[in-house]
Amino acid sequence: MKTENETEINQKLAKQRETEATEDLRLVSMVLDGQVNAFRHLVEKYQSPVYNLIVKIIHDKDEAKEITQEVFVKAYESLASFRSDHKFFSWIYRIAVNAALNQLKKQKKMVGLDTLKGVSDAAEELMNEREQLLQKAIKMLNEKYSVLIVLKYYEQMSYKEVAETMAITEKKVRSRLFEARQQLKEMLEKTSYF
Amino acid sequence: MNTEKNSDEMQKRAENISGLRISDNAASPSVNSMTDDQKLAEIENDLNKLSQTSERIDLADKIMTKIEARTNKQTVSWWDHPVWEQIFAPAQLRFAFVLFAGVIIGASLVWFFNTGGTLPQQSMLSGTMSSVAGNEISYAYQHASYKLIPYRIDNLYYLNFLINSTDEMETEVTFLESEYSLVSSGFLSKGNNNSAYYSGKVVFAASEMSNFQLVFEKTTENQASVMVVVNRNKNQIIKKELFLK
Repeated sequence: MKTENETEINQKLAKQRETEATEDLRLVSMVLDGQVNAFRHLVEKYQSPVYNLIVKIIHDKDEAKEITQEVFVKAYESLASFRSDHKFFSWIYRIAVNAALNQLKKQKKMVGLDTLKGVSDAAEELMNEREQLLQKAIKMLNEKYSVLIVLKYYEQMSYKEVAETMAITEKKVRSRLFEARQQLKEMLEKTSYF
Repeated sequence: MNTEKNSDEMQKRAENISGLRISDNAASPSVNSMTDDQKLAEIENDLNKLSQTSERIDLADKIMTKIEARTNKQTVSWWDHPVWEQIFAPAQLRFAFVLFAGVIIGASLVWFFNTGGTLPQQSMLSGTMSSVAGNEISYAYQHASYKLIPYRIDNLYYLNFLINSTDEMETEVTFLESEYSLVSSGFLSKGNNNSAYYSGKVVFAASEMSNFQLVFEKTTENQASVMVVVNRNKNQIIKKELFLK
């Protein structure tokens, strides 16, 4: 169960995103009016979140940097198709998620046994055993579940924001996340997690 | 069967997570004492506490360089436009396009060889539609072009007048009502035009881009003709007798 403090933080984050969304729309319209440099502000604002999102999906930092660049170039090229009733960050996150998933398919990159056993970066070493087990279990999930976990729990998006990003209904997000937690439970039951 | 398979899959995944083979009986007493709901709640709780490891990167210069390079790129020819690449990117579309092109080429070859390798002739056309060869009119002179394209569908004769002129072109079509009955007539285009109908005569005047159509039905077996006279600025420029067979 979330504590009141966590709920408050999430609400603040959502409110902050709302404010930022308005500023993003202003920048988008400037770009569409021919001010290419306004796009730099959007890049500077979202490059790190987009990169970190991609890393969490494909687990490869070098590739993630390449894909991040492609995502922004693609976003620039298709900016005219961006609908102002959507949030820019949801839109760019969707492009990023699709690009990351495409990359996974292209390389037929499965997060398999060897990869997981070899995972040992500095950040992971700092985690406690439970968190490591949970992180590894998330990586083992089907990508349709793991992407939602990344958006909901790592990116701390609301259900509504996840739904917007993935272009699915909020109900579908909730049901898929429930299924994801069920699968995590089944995997973790066979470890020392509980 | 599926349940067993899923169970095996979960077992394999669990082995990957822990790196150890854990038997189904290896669960600790505390696991058994927790209900499924409690376990799910604990996972949810831990998910909410996941480490927010995020790295800051700076790719703005690289990205903007790429964007500016693309923005400054010369206009591509229409056939090199990326939209074609996008349209034909899905394999199904490529397949459909190649199949369609193949069918067209194949049908053309079959038709060509079946007709003895000759080019199409109007006399070979049969069925419901044919042209009325020898009755066409084509005029083009100083900002004016005038064409009459006649064709026949069954027993109906269609006269299509195509006019594109800065000056007014007046056309007078006369015929014997004992030979032809006027089925329909009128402008197919909007614009600066007018028309009048008399017994055995249709007169219409038009300028700019206009299209007028007359449809006759021949009521006699004998040879019969329709006279077309065209005036430009009151000067006669065309006079032709059409023998619609």
